[in-house]
Amino acid sequence: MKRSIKIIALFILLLLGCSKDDPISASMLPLPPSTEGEWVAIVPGAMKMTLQITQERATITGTGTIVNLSNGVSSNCNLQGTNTYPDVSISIGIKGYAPMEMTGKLLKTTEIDGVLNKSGFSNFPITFIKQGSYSTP
Amino acid sequence: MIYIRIIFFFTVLSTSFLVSQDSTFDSYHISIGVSLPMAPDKFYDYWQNGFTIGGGIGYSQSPNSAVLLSANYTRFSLSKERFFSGLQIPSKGNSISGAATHIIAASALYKYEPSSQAQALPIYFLFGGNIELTSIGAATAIYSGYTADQPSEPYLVLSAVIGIGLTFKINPVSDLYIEGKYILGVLRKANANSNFIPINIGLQTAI
Repeated sequence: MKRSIKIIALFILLLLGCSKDDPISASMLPLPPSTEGEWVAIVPGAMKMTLQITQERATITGTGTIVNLSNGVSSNCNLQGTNTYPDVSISIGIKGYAPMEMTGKLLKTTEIDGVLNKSGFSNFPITFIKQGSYSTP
Repeated sequence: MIYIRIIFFFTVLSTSFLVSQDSTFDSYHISIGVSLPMAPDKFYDYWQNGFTIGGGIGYSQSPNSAVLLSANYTRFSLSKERFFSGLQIPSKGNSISGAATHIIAASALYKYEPSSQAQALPIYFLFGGNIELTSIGAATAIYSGYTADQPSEPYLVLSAVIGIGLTFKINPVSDLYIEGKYILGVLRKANANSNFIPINIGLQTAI
C-alpha cells in the first residue's frame, strides 16, 4: 500500500511539475500563401495605398492608409476580406465614404493583381506589392 | 533543456517502479486498437482516428497490482477534407499528401485492480508515464498550382497516462482485456500532436 501511495504521489508531482509548454512552436503543415504583412499600391499621380493585413485562416483583417498624391491628404482605413488562395477579396472602409472593394489574385506570394470597385471606382486596375517582413504585436 | 527534464522525470518514474524488483517479469501482453486524436486543437481538427499496436511485459507487485512496461506505435492520417475546411478553402483544385502523425512510445504504467476476487467487476486502473518520439511526416500541398512543402518534424514528448480497463480470464494463464487510456503530453513543443486516447483490445499471458 505504501508503495502504491509513493507511486501515485510521484505521478501527481510529474503532472504538477511538467505542465508548462516549451515556448518553441512547431510549424506543422504546408499552408497556402498568406496575405499577412504590409502591402503597398501606388497609382502614379493619384494615390498611394498602404495596407497592413492580418490573416487568420482565410479571414483578412487590418488597417491601412490612403494618401492622395495630388494634395497629400491622408486617410485611415479598415480592412475586411478573405484569401481563398489565389482569390483575394478586401473591403476597404474609409470613415465617411462607401467602402471600396478590391478583388484580385495572389499569383505571386508578393504580389496581388486586382481591381477596385465601388466608392467611385469601376474595375480600376491596381497592383499591391508585399513589403518586408511584418510581425504582429 | 526540455530533453534533460524529460529524461530526468522518466528515469525517476521508471526507477521508482523497478528499483525494488526482486523477481523477473511474470507476464507479457500484446494489444491492438484505435486511437482518437484529442489535443492540441489542430490535432483534433485535422487528423483522423488512427490505429495503435503494441506489447510489453509485466511485473506483479501484489495480487492487486502490477507494473507494465510497454512499447507502442500509433499512427494518425491527416484528413484532407477537414484540413481544407479548417483553412476555409475549397478542396477542389487543392491537394495535400503526407503529414501522418507517428508516435512511438515507451511506457511505464502502474496497474491496480481494486479486487482480484472472481465475482467482482474485473476492472483495473492504470497510471504512469510515456516517453514518445513523435513526428509529423513530410507533407506536400498544392494550392491552385502553388506547391508548399513541409519537412518531417520529429520531437520528444513526455506524457502522463491514466487509464481504465476490464479484464476477462480466458484460460488459467491468459486474460483478454479492453482498456482506454488518456495520453496527456506534459512536456512537449507547443502545438505538438501529443494528446490522444488509445482504446485497445489485448491479450495478457502469465509466464
